[in-house]
Amino acid sequence: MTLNKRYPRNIKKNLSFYICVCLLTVLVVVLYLDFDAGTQKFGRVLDRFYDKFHVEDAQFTTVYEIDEAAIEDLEKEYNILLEKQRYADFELEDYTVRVVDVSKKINMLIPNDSNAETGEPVTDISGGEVTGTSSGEVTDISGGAVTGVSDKSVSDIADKQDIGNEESPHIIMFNTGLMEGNDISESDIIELGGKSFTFAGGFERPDYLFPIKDTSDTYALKNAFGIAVVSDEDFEYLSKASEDSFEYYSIIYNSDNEAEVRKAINREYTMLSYLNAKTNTRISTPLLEVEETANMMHMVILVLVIFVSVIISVVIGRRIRNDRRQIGVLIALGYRKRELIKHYAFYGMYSGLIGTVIGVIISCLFSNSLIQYLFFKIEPIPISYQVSLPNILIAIIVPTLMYTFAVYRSAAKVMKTDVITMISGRSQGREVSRLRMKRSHLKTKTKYKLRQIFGKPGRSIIVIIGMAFGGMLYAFCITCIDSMDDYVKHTVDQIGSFEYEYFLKSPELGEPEGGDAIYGASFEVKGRDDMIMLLGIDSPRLINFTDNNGNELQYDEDHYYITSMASLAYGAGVGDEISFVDPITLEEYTVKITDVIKNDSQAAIYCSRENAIELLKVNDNMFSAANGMIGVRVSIYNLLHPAGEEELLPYNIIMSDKELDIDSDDLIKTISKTSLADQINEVKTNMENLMGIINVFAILICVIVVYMMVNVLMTEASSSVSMLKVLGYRNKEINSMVLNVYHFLVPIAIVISFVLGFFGTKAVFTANVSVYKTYLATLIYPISVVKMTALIVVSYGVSLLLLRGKAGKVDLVESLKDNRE
Amino acid sequence: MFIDLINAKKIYGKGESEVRALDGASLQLDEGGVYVILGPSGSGKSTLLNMLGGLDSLDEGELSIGGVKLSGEKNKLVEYRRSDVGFVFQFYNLIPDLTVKENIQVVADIAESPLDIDEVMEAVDIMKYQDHFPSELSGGQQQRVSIARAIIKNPKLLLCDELTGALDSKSAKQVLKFIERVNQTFHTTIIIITHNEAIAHMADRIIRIKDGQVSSNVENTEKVAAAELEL
Repeated sequence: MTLNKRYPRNIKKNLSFYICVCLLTVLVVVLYLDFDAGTQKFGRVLDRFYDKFHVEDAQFTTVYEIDEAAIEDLEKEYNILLEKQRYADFELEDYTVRVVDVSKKINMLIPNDSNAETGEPVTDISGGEVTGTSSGEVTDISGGAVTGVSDKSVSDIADKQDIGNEESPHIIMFNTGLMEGNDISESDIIELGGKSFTFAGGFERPDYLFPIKDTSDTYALKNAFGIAVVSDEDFEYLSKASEDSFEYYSIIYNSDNEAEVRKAINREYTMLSYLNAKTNTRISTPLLEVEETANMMHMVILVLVIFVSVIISVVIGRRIRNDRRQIGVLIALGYRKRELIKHYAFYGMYSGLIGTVIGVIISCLFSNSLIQYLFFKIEPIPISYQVSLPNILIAIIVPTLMYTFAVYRSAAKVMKTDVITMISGRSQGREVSRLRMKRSHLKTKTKYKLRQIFGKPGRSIIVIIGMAFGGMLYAFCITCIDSMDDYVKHTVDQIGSFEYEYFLKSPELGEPEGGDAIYGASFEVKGRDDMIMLLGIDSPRLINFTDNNGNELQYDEDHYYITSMASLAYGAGVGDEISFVDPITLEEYTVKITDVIKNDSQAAIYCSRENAIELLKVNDNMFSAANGMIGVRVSIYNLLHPAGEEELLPYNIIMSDKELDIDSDDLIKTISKTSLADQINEVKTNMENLMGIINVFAILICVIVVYMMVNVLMTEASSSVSMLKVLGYRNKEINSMVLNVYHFLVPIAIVISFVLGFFGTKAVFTANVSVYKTYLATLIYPISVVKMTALIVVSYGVSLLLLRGKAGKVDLVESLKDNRE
Repeated sequence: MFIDLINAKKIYGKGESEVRALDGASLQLDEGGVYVILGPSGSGKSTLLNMLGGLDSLDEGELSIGGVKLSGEKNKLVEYRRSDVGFVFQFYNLIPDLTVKENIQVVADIAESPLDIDEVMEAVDIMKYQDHFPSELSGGQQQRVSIARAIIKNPKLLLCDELTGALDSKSAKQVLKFIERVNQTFHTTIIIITHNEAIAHMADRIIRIKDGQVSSNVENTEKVAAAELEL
């Protein structure tokens, strides 16, 4: 059809508009393919990764060792997989490395780099199959034959990569985070336990994808802690050389008999601790991360697609309306309205197709690096992410259809006007603003601007949303960063005057020297996959003891005080009952909350030491101790409490405002306020890195939307611009009148950005208290508000700058020829 | 001599599509008169108006208006349009988002010594429509607003391009009466470009254009008042 020759001409004529549409579409497609679709696929792969590499269902420790024969018997009897796991910690100068025993059945590891022989990625999930590496060879495990890296594999890989040598025949591999965080590369020499090891490469283990030293840690300091593997022979040597080695059992249930198995093992071997994978943040955090990111991206994509479709609909709709005289003429010439609607709908289709295809290409090129940015908290699963064909088709078809439909609808609306009105160039019905401002003493220019804003509300709303959307992204990030910064600087100090919490391996009786005694244990919150600590204290001397409003509370030995963070995370306030379950005995306890104390960093219930002991039925032969997030029940009370001696209360935690000289052999772990701050600081740093990408998105959206809408305004006002030129207005004066119309909207967009960003952050912090294990009070510094304002203003200014020459290009003769108002 | 145009040439296009819109046109006019330029379509009269109004510049030739040389002085054109010349177009070209009064005010805002806006609105009888938007007015009313807008800056020259082309005869006559009144009240030099021979009767001189040249420039010895025109 001859009419279709208009397409390339129209696109050429309105090139800047189509470039803007393309850029917005590219943003949408990249977000969808790389972040939303990528995240969802990443989630599915993660599930499969956990499954195929046999991530544990739980881990536990026992008083009595379960030997290999007993393990085999238990596996047969209860249809389980059970394996002893061992590790030994080494404090090096810059980091702590946990050398883990290479597991054979559970939590199997996988090298993260290329296959030694083929150079191909170790794992390819593009076709839906997960493929691992065994002994340097690609192994298909999708069929169920699971092969991880065996003890021999470590040296095999090293041999094939020719990195072992006579001087240093011992090989070691690190998890990727530790490797990259400390710039360790192949053939580097690592000194460990008096032996030299040659670094062979990176690996991942499914139970350490969130590599934290202790399960109660909130964030992974990748450069400060990680895991390593060596050959079995070397491990035996290192476990002896280490001052801090540990053994536990990992279990996988193949039947629905967890409670039965737990009770049986406890009965037979006396459990010291039990940690379910759902409450093991090393395993649960990656899943939560993927789920949360997917949900967030899903929402962002949806909003963005609708937003872009509306913009394109409005802009192309207005262009069609400006074309109404030509449409009228074509109808008069005999064209059917249906044919013309179809003709115009193709403008939407072409815009969609071009934008989506470019978006798909960019997505394919940068998918891996973009996805890694999203999941900076967790270890990279050794996969090569490829954009799938169905997602590509969705990314191309959906926006294209939406744009086509949006334009089709606009065209159909314009065609409803009668032909004579169209040919006359007039619009049907009310078009001009009725904002007369008769008695107003405002300048004519100002009245003109106000009418442009209020007379075309659709256009103005899109400008506001465009600026606010970009601003909100920035505000969201900067609020997160400021809140974390404030936490690091102030909030962490508000939890009390204590500096250290020492968790003892063995309970003691009486009062410790230099600190306050606490008797505590960790429990599973009933109905949730979260843990909470019950802490029995003698006095609140070292903890913050104010309510949420900062009012001092009176300590009452019969009261149960819940921390503000736990209160928020578990929805338990004053007067509510909260139930928690002993992870070893599965016994359930319930307490009634009498007060909430301000502590946004810990999930805990405080009570008197007597009440804690009474509640947990610590009696003649048993009491519970705390092992971080792992509940520990020890049958040694009688050993510590011989008959006839004055009754002393047990304690297993020492809280102190100064560093105490306690032998590390006696400690399970030490928590310092500094470490809490360090973890949040780490996230803040990562967030700051992510800000770079967010800023680009924010600025692009702001600039593109403002550019498009001001461009539309300028095009629609071209006859007025032309007339102003004829009347003697200089380009600068015309710009100040026409180009600067939306100045009034900038403050509104700033306020909306701030409100959405701030309260959006607050909502995210509140919803994720149990994930972060910290309630971050939402805060934004005045300087950040200034920065956000500057970002919006600068983006807006850039758009106007790009359009500055447009008034000069309006032909002052041509536009007057057919102007009828 | 108020307008002095010598051997003006303006060529659009190149090669086969070359159009000589003005091809050696010369014209001399005194200040304060009413002049009507007649000519068939494509004769070059609109191009001549564009040159006289400072909307475009000559390729060759010389043009000076009120002693100010405009030819070869592109940077002077904006200032010239700003202070010395007013336009009235066939399709009014009012700014749709401004009311009647504001359409006039928008010119007064940049004029050095504008006339009193109420006086001008009174002169073209649009006072009662001052808060209306253009789309709420008839063609004749809009054209009167256009005239008011053109004269508010008290220009030395008022250029009218087919100003009655879109109006019925009654409205057209009324508009021409206002043009006549402007000339008498403000002593503005007025040039009317039109197809309509009848309008020529109100002119002091009648100029004819053909093939880009001034074919005749004669005094109208039978000048009649606008009210008596037979349109």
